[in-house]
Amino acid sequence: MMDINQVEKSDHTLPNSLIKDKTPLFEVNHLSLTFRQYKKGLRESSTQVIRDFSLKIHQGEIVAVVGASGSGKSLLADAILGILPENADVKGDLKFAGEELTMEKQMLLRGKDISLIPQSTNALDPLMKAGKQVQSVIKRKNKKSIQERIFHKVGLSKKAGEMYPFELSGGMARRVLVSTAMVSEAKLVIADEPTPGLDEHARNETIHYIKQLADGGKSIMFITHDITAALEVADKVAVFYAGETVEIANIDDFTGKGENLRHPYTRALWNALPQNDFIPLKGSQPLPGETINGCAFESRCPIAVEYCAQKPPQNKSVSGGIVRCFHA
Amino acid sequence: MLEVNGVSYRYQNNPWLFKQLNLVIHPGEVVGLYGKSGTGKTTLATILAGLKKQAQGDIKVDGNLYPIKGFQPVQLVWQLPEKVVNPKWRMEKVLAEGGDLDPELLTALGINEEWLNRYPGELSGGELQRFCLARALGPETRYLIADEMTTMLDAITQAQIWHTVLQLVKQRNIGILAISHDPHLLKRVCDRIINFDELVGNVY
Repeated sequence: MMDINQVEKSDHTLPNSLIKDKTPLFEVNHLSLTFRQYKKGLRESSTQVIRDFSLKIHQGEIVAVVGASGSGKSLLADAILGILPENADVKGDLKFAGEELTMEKQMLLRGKDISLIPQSTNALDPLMKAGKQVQSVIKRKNKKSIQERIFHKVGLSKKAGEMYPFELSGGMARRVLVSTAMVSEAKLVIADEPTPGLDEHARNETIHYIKQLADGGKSIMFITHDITAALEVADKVAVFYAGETVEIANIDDFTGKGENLRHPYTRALWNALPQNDFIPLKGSQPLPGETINGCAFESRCPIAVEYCAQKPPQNKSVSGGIVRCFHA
Repeated sequence: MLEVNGVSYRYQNNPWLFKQLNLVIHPGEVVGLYGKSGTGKTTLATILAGLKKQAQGDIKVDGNLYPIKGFQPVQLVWQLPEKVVNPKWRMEKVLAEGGDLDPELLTALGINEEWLNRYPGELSGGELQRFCLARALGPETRYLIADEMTTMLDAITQAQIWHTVLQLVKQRNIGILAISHDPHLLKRVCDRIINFDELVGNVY
């Protein structure tokens, strides 16, 4: 509570500095995440889940983070919000509005400047009416009328505000979660897998709300394994494989047989879609903790050569995108 | 043949979820099913798998009327594999629930022998889903209900799993009901596609 003044101060200085030098609102450089675990007795082991993740998000931009399940995508959100368990070691630079995002800063900003649309609708408080939950985020007066206006915008009735989460359908609960992000003062919204399992109508709606958030000036990090959904809303797509960003591509690169894509994994992902060629690439991605000396994708890569297994490729800029591959 | 004749269901005193539902699935056939959320597709799947009892109507599998005694020849694969395996069992024990499994089946599904010693938490969603499939595809299984089987998986894993399943069902002449929200996927894997709304009160 005592830190509210500080937050408000940073609110006022933010937009100007952004317009001046186009600093990305949010920036991650070489983020890595390791979990320390006890195996047998007191023997400690560590498992690296995220190896090298870099990403920039500008104001009003939607950047999708696309990757397989188990690639550590959701942990990424937790790392940014600073809500990882104690046995997690995070290394690398996080910057928010040009300033370093330290642990103290994370605590201050989460739920205020940075907000999360969680993966599961279980995240709603089961004992609080939906409307009240949304109101609790609003810092201004007239909480109730603001909440009702937002509910109207996302297609929820006044009655829905008086309902408890168990009385809401999956789609309605999803809309309540999105309203929470909409009424908040957040500048960065992290949406963690908001679409899978929804029918076509609800899915299109959710995507539409995310677009609305961005049109309102918020920056969005859209975490998903659904590349089709990502392509519908995002400005850029960051492809995540075995704890690394292997490519940051523009939306227009996803066309044809993927000739414009820079990384073989992105190309394989694109060509595996049922509406494309439905080609199953063999193998599975390395498990967290597996030692990888060279490129993480080498074992499955159709164009790998000997040195791919020996040293890791570095990020490089190729035709308006970023790629981590020797062959690009 | 899996025959559903005039099946209706409702939860307690709620209104009917669906009424007079008819459906036929032949061996070796892949039937796609789509429809809005909350219309009862998953409920139908659980009824077909013998986990719930219909309120009206009857179901027959290869001539035998439900409820089936002994091994249930209609098996269900769920959307979220991590919720249908015991988190405290090693994968070996999880697989044993499916009866005596053919080692060739495990190879075909791309299950690594090393994984048998692991706990569910030590495998990715795609890997777990392969185990759930193996468990469901015991030697006596005749029909498979795939309820959003690959919704939580990335496109490559989805393609891998469906390619294997389609091959297996052809070999063993198994019929599939594939429930999904993805029209592209259904078009790709199914012999015919049905809208759930049209099932009710019609004969197919």
